Amino acid sequence: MESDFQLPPDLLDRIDAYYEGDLSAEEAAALRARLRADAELAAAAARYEAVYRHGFRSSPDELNSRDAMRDTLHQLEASLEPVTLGRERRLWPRILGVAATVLLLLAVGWWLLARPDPDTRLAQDSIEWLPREGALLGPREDAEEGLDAYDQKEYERAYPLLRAGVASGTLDSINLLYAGVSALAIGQAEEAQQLLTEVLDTGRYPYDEGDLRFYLALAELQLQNREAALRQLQLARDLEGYTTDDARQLLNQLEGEE
Amino acid sequence: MSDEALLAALRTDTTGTALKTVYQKYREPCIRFLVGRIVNRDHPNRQEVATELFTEALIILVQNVRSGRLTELSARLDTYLNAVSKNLYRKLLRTNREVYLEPERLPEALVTPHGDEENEAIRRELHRKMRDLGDRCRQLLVHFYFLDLDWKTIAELLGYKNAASAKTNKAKCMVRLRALYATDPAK
Repeated sequence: MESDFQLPPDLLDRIDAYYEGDLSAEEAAALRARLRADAELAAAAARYEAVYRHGFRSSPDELNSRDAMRDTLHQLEASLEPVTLGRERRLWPRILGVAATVLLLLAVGWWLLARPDPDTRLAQDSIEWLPREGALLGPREDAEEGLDAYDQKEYERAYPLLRAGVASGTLDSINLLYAGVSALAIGQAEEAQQLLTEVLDTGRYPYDEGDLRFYLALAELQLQNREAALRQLQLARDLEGYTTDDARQLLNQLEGEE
Repeated sequence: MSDEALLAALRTDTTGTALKTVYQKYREPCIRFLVGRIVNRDHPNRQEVATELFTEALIILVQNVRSGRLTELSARLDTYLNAVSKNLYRKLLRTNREVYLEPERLPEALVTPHGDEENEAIRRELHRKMRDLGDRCRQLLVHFYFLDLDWKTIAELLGYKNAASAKTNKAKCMVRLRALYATDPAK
């Protein structure tokens, strides 16, 4: 390969664009015509496009080894129980969740009156921004103002935008998790509790269950419902998520106080 | 086992043990994610399709880890598996096939290509140059060319403001790559 491909920068840019699919058929034809008209230019272009055609590609050895990996994984898959899909499996926790919510609503008034609780402060101290990761990079829409606000930790702005986005259908319902985090951050514990319970009850996001339960526990703590918070944290500590360690730590702290 | 430990195990995995560990660890959540949120509800055999997508995504990731192109993840391993699976599904929809088939076709060559004898040398040289590009550019190029992700996903994974910003940065990386070829000719 020649050192600099001996091509003018504008031609290099056109070749880049061609390989990214950014040239129209007419533009690609014009590029080909330009190369055909100059043998030296064409030879240099061939060297440059070889980087695209071979460099940025898996090697034949790699492609061949995929078959061996496929065989290994197919055999493994055949030996495993079929995956139980979320909706079937999540029915019982959902019933528990609804029951817990009903009990919570009944109990919360009593707790508020009977026990002025320092846990609110602990819950507030435990609130952290939950990395969004594009809701696991699932389906997304263009209305992202609320998501941007959340990513910038502008919770006051993010909260209504996220709720509105989900309500209008422009944002997926998993974004209620981030709305819940935002609500907690601005002291709207009741709304956070309601939102997070709502998302949990759908059973659609088993991957996020640990994080949902952690933030729900914080909402419960803010609402001075320690028992419900402990219950959520006990579930959250065994679920993988960003907040697993936080859940374990907070649970230890709360249990240590009892 | 943490993702970092799994990644390290995959790098040196000659027996397939780490491959199977990752498969078993992420099979369930990823297939659920794909069935629940990605594969169209009217797609026949949704769960089988999801399983196949997950398998192919894992193979692609593992190959990039083993080859040394992908040295670190900027998100969780399952997020990567979901992202690659999702893009494979998009391709599947575009090709109107029942199952995923690789690899994607390249556009027609601009100039009639010569023999294949230099291809391995081209790959090795590019690999070397990409190492010299620095982490940020190498990550961008690997995510785009080897993990075959769309710009929006790349922006989210690598922390760019949006797809356009990621793409603009990739163009800058290509200019730097060309400069590396100019200042450090192929050996």
